[in-house]
Amino acid sequence: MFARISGATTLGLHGNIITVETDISNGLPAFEIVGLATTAVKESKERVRAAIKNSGYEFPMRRITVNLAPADLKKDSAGLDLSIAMGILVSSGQIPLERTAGSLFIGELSLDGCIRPVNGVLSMVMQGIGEGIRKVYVSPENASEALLCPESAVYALPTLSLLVRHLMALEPVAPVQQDETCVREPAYSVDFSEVQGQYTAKRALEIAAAGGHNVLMIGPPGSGKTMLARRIPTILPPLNQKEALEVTQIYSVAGLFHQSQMLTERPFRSPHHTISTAGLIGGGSIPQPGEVTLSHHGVLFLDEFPEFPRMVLEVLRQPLEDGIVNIARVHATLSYPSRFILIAAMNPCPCGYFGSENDNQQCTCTPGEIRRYVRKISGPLLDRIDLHVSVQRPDYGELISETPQEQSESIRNRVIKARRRQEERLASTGIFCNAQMGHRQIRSTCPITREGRLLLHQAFDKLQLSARSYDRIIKVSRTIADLAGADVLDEEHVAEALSFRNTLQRM
Amino acid sequence: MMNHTDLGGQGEEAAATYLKKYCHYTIIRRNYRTRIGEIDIIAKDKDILVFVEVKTRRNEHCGRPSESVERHKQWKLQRVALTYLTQYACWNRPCRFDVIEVFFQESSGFTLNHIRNAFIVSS
Repeated sequence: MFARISGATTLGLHGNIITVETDISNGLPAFEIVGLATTAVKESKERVRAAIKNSGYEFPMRRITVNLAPADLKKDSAGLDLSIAMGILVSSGQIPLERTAGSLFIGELSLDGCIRPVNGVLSMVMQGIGEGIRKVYVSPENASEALLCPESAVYALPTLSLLVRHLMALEPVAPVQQDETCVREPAYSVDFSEVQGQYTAKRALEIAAAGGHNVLMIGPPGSGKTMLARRIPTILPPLNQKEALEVTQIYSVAGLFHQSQMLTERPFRSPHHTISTAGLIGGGSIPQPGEVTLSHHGVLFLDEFPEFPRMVLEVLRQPLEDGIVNIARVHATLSYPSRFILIAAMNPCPCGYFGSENDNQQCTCTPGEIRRYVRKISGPLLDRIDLHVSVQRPDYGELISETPQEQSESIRNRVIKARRRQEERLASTGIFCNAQMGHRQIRSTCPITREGRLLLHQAFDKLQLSARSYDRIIKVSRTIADLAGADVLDEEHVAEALSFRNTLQRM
Repeated sequence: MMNHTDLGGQGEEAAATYLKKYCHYTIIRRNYRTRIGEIDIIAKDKDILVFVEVKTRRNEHCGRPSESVERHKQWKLQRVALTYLTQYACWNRPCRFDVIEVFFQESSGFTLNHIRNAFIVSS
C-alpha cells in the first residue's frame, strides 16, 4: 500500500535525489501529487496513468497520494514520471518493493509507455552514486550519458513494460557496457595554415590558447579577424578528465548533449550581437545556463564587439574576473561556472579604416565619432582583456603567396606542452592554466629576472597600469615563458607581454 | 412521446436492471438526494461501492450523454458521494464512479453504454 522510490531532478548543475513516496488507500478515487511540484510534474499524472494502462498493467482506481520529498525543493522536470509510475506499480502490489531497492529511476513517460530521455542525467546519476544508489534505470538515449559516471550499473529500457518485466526477473537485461570502440579524434574543417601572414595575431592567439588569456582583435573589415577566431578551436588543447566532466555536465543540463561520449573538444560559442543579458550570463525563473557557462573551459567569441549592447558587455565583468556567475531569481539562486577565453573582434572606428596602414583607404570618421565608438567598450572591461592585437589588411603579394604557413597541429603541440608545464606547476592549487591564477599563485610561481623586473617597473609608471593589469601582464609573461620552456620570466617575455597591452586607449 | 423526466426515469430503470442482471451488482440506493444534488444509483460491485450517474438521450444533437458529465457535474457527484460516505460512516471503503449512457429510440428501445471508472476526484 506504500512505496518509496528514488527519482531525481536537477537544480542548476547539481542533481537532487527525490524520494517519491506513494500511498494507495480506500475512499473516493483520486490522484494527488504533493511536494512543491511544478506544472510539468503535475501533468505527469495523465502521462503516468496512460502509460501504466497502455503497458498492460492496472492503474488502481483508488485514493493515490504521491509525495515528493524533500518538500521544500521545487521540482521542475518531467523526469520524475518514471519514478512516480514505479511508485504506483509497487504500492498497488504489482511489483514487490524489494526489487526496486537501491535503484534510481529517471525518465519521462509517453502515453504508450515508452521511456523518453531527459536533460541532466549525468548530474542526477553522480548525485545518486554519492547517496548510495547502485542501479540506474534510464531510457536507451540517456544510457551513454549515465555511463560517464563509472561506478553505476546502468540499465537502458525502452518501455515501461520491459522495465517491469526486468524487475520481475521475467526478461532480465544486462547492464549497459561502455562503448570503448569509437573514441574519436576531433576533426576540423579549417586550419591555421589557411591564413596567410597575420603573424602577430597568430602569436597572440597561440599565447591565449596556451594560457587561457583573453584577446581583443582590432582591424578593418575583411582583414581576417573572424577567419582567425574560427580557427582557435583547432589549436586548443583537449579537455582533461575533470574539465570534460564539468563541460559535459553543463551541456547535459542545458539539453545540448547529443553524443555517446564525454565531450573532448573545448566548446566554441559565438553568440550574435543581438544577444540579451540573460542569454549571455544565464536567466529564467529557474536560471538556465547562458553563453558564458556554455563556453566554460572553452572560447567565447564576440564578433563586432562594440555592436553588443553596453549592458550586455558590462555583465561580462564578473564572470571574466571570478570564473563564476551567480544568478539570483525568485525561485532559485544559482551559480554557474564560467571560465572561458574571451576572444573579441572589432573595427577601430565606425567606417572601419582608422589607423589603416594602406594609403588608399582613408578613415572618413570624425574624431568624435571614433571616440564614441571606442568608448562603447568600457575601461574596466578592456582592463580584463590581456592581449590586444591589431589585425591589418594583408597586401596582394601576401594574399596570393604560396609560402607554407604553420599547421594548426604544430601550434597545438606547443600549446599542449605549455599547458602541461602549467598543470604540473599548479597541480596543488586545483587550477589548470595561468589565466586562472590568483595573486598568491602569481607570487609563488612567477620568478622574474632583475632585467624583467626593471622593465615592469618602467612600464608600470609609464603606462599607468592598474594593479590588475600588472598581475595580468605577469600572467601573460608566464605563459610566454611556458611556451618558450623557460622557468624564470626574462626581459623578453615581459616585453612581448607588454607589446600586446591595450592599444585601444592609445587611439 | 414521453417528456424528458419520464425518459430519464425510464433510462435509470433500464440501467438499474442492467446492473443487476448483467453485472450482478447489488443496488443499494436509487436517487440518493442531498441539497447539493443527486446520485442516480448507488450499487455494490463485490466490495466496491459504485456511484452511478445515468444519462439518457434520444439523439446526439447535443453531444453524447457522457459529455454532459463535465467538471462541475463531477464535482457535484463527488460532494454527494462524500455526504453518503459520511452519513453511513464508510469512509474507508473502496469506491468508484461509473457513468451509464442510455440511448433511446422509438424503433429499437434502450441501448446502454457502461463506462466503469469514469473519472477520479480532482481538487
